[in-house]
Amino acid sequence: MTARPRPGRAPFPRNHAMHEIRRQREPGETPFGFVLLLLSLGVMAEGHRLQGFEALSAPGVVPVAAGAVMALSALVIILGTRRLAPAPGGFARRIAPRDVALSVLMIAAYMAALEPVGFHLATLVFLAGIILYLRRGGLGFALAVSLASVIAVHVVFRMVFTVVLPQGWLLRGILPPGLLQ
Amino acid sequence: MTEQLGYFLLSWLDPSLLLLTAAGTLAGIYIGAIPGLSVTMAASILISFTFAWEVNDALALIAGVFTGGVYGGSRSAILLNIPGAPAAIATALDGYPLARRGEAGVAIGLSTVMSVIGGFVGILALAVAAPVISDFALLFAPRDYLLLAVMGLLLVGTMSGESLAKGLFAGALGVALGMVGLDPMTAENRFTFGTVQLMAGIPYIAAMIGFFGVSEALVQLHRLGVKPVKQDVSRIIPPWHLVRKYLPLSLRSSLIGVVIGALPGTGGDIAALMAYDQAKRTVKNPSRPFGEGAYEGLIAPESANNAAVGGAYVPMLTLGIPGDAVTAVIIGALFIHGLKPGPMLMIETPHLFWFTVGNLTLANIFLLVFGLTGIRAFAKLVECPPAVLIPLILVLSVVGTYSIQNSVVDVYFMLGFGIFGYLLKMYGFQVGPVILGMILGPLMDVSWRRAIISVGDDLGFFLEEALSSPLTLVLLAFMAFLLLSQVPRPDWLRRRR
Repeated sequence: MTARPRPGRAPFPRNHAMHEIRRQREPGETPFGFVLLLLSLGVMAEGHRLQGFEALSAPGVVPVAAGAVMALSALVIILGTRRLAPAPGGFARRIAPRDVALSVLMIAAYMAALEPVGFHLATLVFLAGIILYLRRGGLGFALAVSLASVIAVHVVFRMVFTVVLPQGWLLRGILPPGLLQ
Repeated sequence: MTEQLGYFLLSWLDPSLLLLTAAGTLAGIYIGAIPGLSVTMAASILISFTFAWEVNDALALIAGVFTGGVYGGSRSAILLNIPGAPAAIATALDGYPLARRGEAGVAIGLSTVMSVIGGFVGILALAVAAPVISDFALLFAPRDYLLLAVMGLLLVGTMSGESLAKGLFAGALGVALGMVGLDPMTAENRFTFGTVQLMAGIPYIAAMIGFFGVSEALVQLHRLGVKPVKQDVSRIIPPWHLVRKYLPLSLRSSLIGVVIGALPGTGGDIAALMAYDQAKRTVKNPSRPFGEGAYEGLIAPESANNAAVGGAYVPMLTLGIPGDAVTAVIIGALFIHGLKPGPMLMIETPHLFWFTVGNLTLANIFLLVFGLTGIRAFAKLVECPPAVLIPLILVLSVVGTYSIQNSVVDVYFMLGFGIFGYLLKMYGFQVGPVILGMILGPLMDVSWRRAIISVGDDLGFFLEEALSSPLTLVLLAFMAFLLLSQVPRPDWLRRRR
């Protein structure tokens, strides 16, 4: 089974390279700036709770200073953002498109499954599922890559680095004891 | 002298030590290169199963991993734009654009040769100038450590491409994250909100993997439909004229690396950023504009971060103070083997010092051999479809995070930082300053409080002392220069020029 071509995807217009200069305001950028401002004020408040102003050597002095720098920077960022022309397209298209949103949900589900079903089975299912979704097909390929990856990770981490990987408790008694341990 | 040479050549002549150094270097290159695997993590894990070995065997393996790992981070920075280690953050700035121009092979070859040159300069400094540098580091007062930390943050802040405000925000956010946990001086809970898991602080490796590995993987999901640039790695050995041309820059950057590496707490990451910044400011006619694939932007950080390895050993072996995170782990290994790093180590066990110098030299020779061969195998990873590579990076990130403390909670932290880092990147922030802030925050906090307590909480006296110290004045002047260079000149001043 071969992978189907991806349906009319608009290439993401922005290079995310670290040095790139942006000139458009992304959807949700101003609210994000306000969230950062609130976070900064929260940091300052917690720093103040730690006797931030009682003595110069108090545990809260550096947190208050860090919060103040964050708050000032956030204000400058918000003001700068408002001057930019808005980029075309909504939040769901540019910031949280379906591939990103679904991948995050799959990662969260994978993490939640790690302890109950164990690393090997959870990883096998996660890899097969996400590769199948991102390639829009190719079940056989997805399963083969997933199986090879689980075996490689097992050999490197479990056998060479002796990392204890989650074994899972849900299927204990169903799978033969000692399998993949 | 003959005795010292014997210690120096110990790992060269003993087959098992030779093999361990080679294996460590090769493993380090790949550990450093794979996003989500860090050399600090590898060193920590190695220590857990080498504590029963002979101390020389353990040190040979760890020195190899350290040397290889610092260099290995550059590979994923060049080929994937994901720094495999913090020391490779600056490498990505010009390394990745070079790869996108089809010069991945030259970029990797140059980074290998310059890393080895940097490594040799670092070792030379360790061997010759260790006592002098350690004496100099002893002169630093707590306020100087504070200024160094602030300077490091300013430096990464100013490197934020879009705006200084975003760079400063990210750095300050990192400092705030670094404050989470029990206060080291009063054991008071800071930002823990009654949660036991937060008392030990934010798991640093989980944050690093989240910010660098997961967030980058999520950003890459936007590019699934875009065909990856086929990386040309056909020419691996860099042209001799390029090596000769950039040798002076490499040596200059290596010296920065040695000095920064030798300063306690500051390692290859800050050294690489400072060397990059210095090259950006001093190179008048770069091969291309910085940030667009300038060879100079690749050579400076790569020489500096490997030179910082030798530098980082100086305070560790002579003062018992870690030069960076990996040497902090190595100090733990020395303790496990019954050795006490510090001034007495060089007096009581001088063989250990010369063994380390010889072993690091050997590791750099292996680095040159392994670095200039087998590049294609790693470059093949880039040709792997993103729909396969991204899920694999995510799984490696999960395993890497889990393996630190066998904790699923750490994995949740990683995902949280990954999503937050993704949003930051989408809105034009950089995540490098956040991580650096997390490292430097606790150093700033403790240094500030020690400095101010030492003058009885008197700010006036603190300033008076600071202004009467030549070392502090130099640091302050450098910071002022750094800040002023970022402020746009007013029109009238520009007109006059």
